[in-house]
Amino acid sequence: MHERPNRRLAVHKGFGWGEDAYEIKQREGREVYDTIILDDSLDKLLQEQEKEVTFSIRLLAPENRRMKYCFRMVKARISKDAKRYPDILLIRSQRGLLFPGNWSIEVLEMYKDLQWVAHTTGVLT
Amino acid sequence: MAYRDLREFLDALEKNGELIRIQDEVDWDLEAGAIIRLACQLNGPSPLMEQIKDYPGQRMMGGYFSSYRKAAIAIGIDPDSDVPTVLDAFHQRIKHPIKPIIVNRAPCQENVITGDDVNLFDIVSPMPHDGDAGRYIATWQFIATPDYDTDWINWGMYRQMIQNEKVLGGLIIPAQDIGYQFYTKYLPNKKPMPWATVIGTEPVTTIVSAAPYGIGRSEVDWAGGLRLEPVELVRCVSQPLYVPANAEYIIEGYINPTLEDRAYEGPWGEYSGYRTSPRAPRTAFHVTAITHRNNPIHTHSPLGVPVDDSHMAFTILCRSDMLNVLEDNAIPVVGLHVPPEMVGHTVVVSIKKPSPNLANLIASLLFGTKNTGLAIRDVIVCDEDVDVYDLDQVLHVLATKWHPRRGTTLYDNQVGMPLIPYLSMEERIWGKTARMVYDCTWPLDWSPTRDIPVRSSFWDIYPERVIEGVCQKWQRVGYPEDMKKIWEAGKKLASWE
Repeated sequence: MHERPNRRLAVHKGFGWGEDAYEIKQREGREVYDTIILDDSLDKLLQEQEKEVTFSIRLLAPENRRMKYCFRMVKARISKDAKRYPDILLIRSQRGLLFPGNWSIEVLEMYKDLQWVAHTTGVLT
Repeated sequence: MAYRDLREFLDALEKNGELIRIQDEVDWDLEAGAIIRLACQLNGPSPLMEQIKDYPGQRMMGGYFSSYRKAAIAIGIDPDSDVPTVLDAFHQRIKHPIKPIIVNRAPCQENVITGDDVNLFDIVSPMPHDGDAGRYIATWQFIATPDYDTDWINWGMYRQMIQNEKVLGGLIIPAQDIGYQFYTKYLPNKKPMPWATVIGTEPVTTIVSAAPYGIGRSEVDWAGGLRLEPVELVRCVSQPLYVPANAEYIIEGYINPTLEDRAYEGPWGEYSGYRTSPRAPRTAFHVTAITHRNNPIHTHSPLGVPVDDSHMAFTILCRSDMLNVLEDNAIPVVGLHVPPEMVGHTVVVSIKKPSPNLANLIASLLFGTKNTGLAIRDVIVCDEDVDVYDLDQVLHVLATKWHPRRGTTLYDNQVGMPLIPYLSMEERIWGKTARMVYDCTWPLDWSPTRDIPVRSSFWDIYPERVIEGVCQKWQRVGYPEDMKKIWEAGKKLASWE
């Protein structure tokens, strides 16, 4: 069963699997993070731009590679403009699909504790 | 004799051509999961990956229980036994549980890490599939939890994802045994619930946690019965409970008795073959200690399309649970199969049919069983002439004996699981589903000579003397199959005895 390649589902076309985060970091000289959102479009996330928000990110290219995918709560500002803030933020849907296009992030504070924070728009986790 | 630990079992797999030792470096980030996934999809030997990137001295493996052959090796019977023989061996052993024994020294505690030194990222754990929410340290393991006020220790296979150095996130469903312990006992009494995650035992000790054994009944007794020998347990170093002494890794900790201590977990590719589990705030498991063997082996199951370890464990152990229910209710079962290809959502039962509407009685009983019933979507009921272990035969009766109106009963407003792909998001959230019965038996009031046709298969439509003659000469005329042997083994069935 499933011994050979099969067609992929057309509706998932465009939601890529993602470039290696360490290669992005090396090329652009910026930290790379991602976050998983609860909505199935980016509309609500657009409302979270340009203000301080607290949510969880994953470390995608930490110095110690063993720490890759560690979650950190951060207070940060985010933007759909890939160049507005110093670091790169990738956005994944709650089914794990990667939205096309990089966002940018400025991490203001990073916390080790991971407490669930309720958000007004309910899109960030 | 039972396997003492995972390593002895791996030697047995290797001896039977069911293990490949990979010496090339393998990346824990997607590559290890991908190797195990492909090995399962090709129904191939289990991969034991001996060099893992970033983690010298630690190993990974998976897919060690993903076929009937491997399941037979797991309980020490002939690997080439046919499917019903393997299934029945498990079913019979389950009826005779054996209590564990306690030991003072244990291989699983050769290395002990506690307090500030605990860092979950120091244990090799995979990123199973691209797009999963994180590194799932616990995919093919079990969590041991002591009951609050009895000596029952529950073992359950519940996934756990690494959040940070000292916290795991995981899904605890109230309907599961761990959920019963937490939500009805520890939480109302405001006491932290101890837990220990056990990774890397010989297969029997792990698979019993993947199937229902019942509230108040310790799976360790069930494992002893299947092994024909007791499981050796040792006391944890930081929590008041006991775990298998020969495991590869033990992670110990507690769950705070509050609904506020949560961490987002998921998505994660599930047993159904789809990434169905939505992201949500779930239980935070706080870690107090990690212990492990020297040169430990992490067991991993990157769940997905069938057949992998999870489907095989469900097929074997939930079948026993269902058989017990039907036998207790005097249902004349000839065969019962939970095809692993259908991920445990479909049950096929063959019966000798002494009364009408038996298909619906069977369905009502199976849908109502705890845990097992939750996963079932369809029950297909066949006459005794169908080999329920042969999916081609099952498809054939569905195409020819199932009447879409008379043979169908829809059970609506049933309790469902949130992981089932065909459910809408709302149905997943509220745990609602529907179920179906396909009655593929001939109606009792049909005349055997006028209404019920004769099946036209080689084994049904020819006299025994012709079958015997053809089988005798089959290899002589140039075909490879030893039909003489097959006929000898099955002729009793074909003669109505």
